Amino acid sequence: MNGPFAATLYGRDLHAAGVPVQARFVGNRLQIDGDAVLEVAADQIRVDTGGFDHDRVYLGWDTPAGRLSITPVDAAARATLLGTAPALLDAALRRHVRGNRRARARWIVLGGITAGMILLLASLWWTYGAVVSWAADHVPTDVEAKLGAATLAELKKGGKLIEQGPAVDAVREIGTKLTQGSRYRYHWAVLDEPSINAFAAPGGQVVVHRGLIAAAKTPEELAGVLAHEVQHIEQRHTLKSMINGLGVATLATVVLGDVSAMAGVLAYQVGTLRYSRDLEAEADRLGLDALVRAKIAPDGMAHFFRTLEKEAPQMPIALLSSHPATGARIDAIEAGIAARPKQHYEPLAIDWPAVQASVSKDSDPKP
Amino acid sequence: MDMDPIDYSIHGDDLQYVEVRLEPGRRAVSEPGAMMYVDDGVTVSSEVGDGSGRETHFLARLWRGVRRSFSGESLFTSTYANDAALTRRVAFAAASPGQIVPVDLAAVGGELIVQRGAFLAGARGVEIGIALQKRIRVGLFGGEGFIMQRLTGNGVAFVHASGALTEMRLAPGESLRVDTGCLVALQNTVRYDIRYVGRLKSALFGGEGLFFAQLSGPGTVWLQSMPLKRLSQTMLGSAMAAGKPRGVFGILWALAVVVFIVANILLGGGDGS
Repeated sequence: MNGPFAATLYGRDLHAAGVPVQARFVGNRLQIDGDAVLEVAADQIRVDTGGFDHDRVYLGWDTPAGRLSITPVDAAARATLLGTAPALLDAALRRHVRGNRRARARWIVLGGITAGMILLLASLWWTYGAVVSWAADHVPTDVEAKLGAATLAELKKGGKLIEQGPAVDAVREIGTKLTQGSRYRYHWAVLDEPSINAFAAPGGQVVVHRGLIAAAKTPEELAGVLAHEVQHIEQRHTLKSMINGLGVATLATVVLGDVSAMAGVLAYQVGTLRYSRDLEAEADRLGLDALVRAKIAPDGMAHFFRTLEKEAPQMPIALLSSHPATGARIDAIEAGIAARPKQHYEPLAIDWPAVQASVSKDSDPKP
Repeated sequence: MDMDPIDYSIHGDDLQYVEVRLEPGRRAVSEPGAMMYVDDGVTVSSEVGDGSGRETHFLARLWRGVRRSFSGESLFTSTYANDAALTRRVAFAAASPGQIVPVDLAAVGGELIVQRGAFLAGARGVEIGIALQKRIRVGLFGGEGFIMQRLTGNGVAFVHASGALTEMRLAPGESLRVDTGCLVALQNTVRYDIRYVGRLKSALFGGEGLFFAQLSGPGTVWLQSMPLKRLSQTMLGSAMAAGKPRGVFGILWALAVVVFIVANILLGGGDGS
């Protein structure tokens, strides 16, 4: 004798909300009691899945007055139905249960995929800096050299590149001290521009504007700027900024080695390229280290920036103007100098007035 | 369940409103903005939640409100309480051309699932919640999305949808194929599924899309003749076309002109030779 379960009976001629009944399986027969009294053989029963959530099991059978069907009212009644149904209905009921489970599994899989995607994106976001560094580190040195050479070629076309003379010699002399033991082969040049600027292209190209040499009061000040620019090359900041700015396309192009297309973009970018504040700070810090290693007084870097900020605010100082927190940056440089042990530095043996005279032009504004 | 039986009448043909007559002390609830007119002596108030008065804690009501807002309703419910000693009227108007259908929730087993935003007003005791579509394919292609409204309780709920509304009773095992988007409401006993149209040709040129909604009994369903989406497409299409005299007739006219000219040239050439 199986326990009865509460169910709702539906039929064409019954109330739309159904009729509450008690149902029980007796052997291979389904007995229905309550507002309607019926009995039906199990072999005539069809099992269907239905309801808005597809979670209801309907036991239906045909009568002369159309099909009737019952569904258990709640989870407990459903469990009783599943537990007491005759073996004849087992296969069909199992199919219903399995179908229900599969629907739930699908949501779990979908949820898992979504969570995985979110996790992937989040971890990408967290490790973004590391990914960029990794990518930059995997660009071969000769690709960098090609990029740099292309940039220089582009500058030469402008006809303003000075590649020999006392100014270039001075820059080379200081630069060589700063780049002892580097993996790059450096190439030093002066650009015939009155603005105060200097920039570095990947692979060892360092270009100093004529205006910067004119504005620097001592060779140590020039050394400070060079030390900074050299670190942009050593730390591959250009590549990192490019990867940052251009994303995956650059990465693919550079890693795959198709440099020709990139070089044009880069040549255009180099003059205007802006490094992030973190990269600038890194170049300042490591630049100071390089100055100390090369036994050049590191105060020059701070002096130069400080003087420029104070005395020539009207000059187009591209070196500083591209960076938002100039004051804070100079403070950081000065703090870095103060933190390093005091020692005596020999002044650079360069005839600075002669160097300045070699690049000065009458049309220049007097500082 | 606390419920207020209400007396109502529906007015209008295609742009309908429902007038509810509240006996003293009775209440009705509606979507904010649905009210058309209200007699003196009826206190109108807005509350967070569904106005069922079941939860007293603000956060609990807020949570119900947030759930409501997911189902296309407002975070707030307007409550209309008759504080006068006489029967008072309040009317609710539908926002688009269509029909208002009163559904006594008690007559459909205490629960009705309706299209997003279809609930217009109801007697106090009607609660509005979310009915999440658990079948992914039905949610994607069924035309009603993943979220529908679940109205529970046992009062009368006024459901509104655009176009003409029809009620259909499905016997156990009986099923009906419906254009996706035409489903307005269904009893929770009805199985709602989708079925592929079956043939690529009909899918592409039949104009019904790739899928039908398949509704299987037992239970009652309500269908609309004109989903708002289809109506707005038609309106937008004709609004675009109004600017330039194009379309099928324009092309036919241009074709007629070309045929006329070509025929003239050919016939003229014939005369000349």
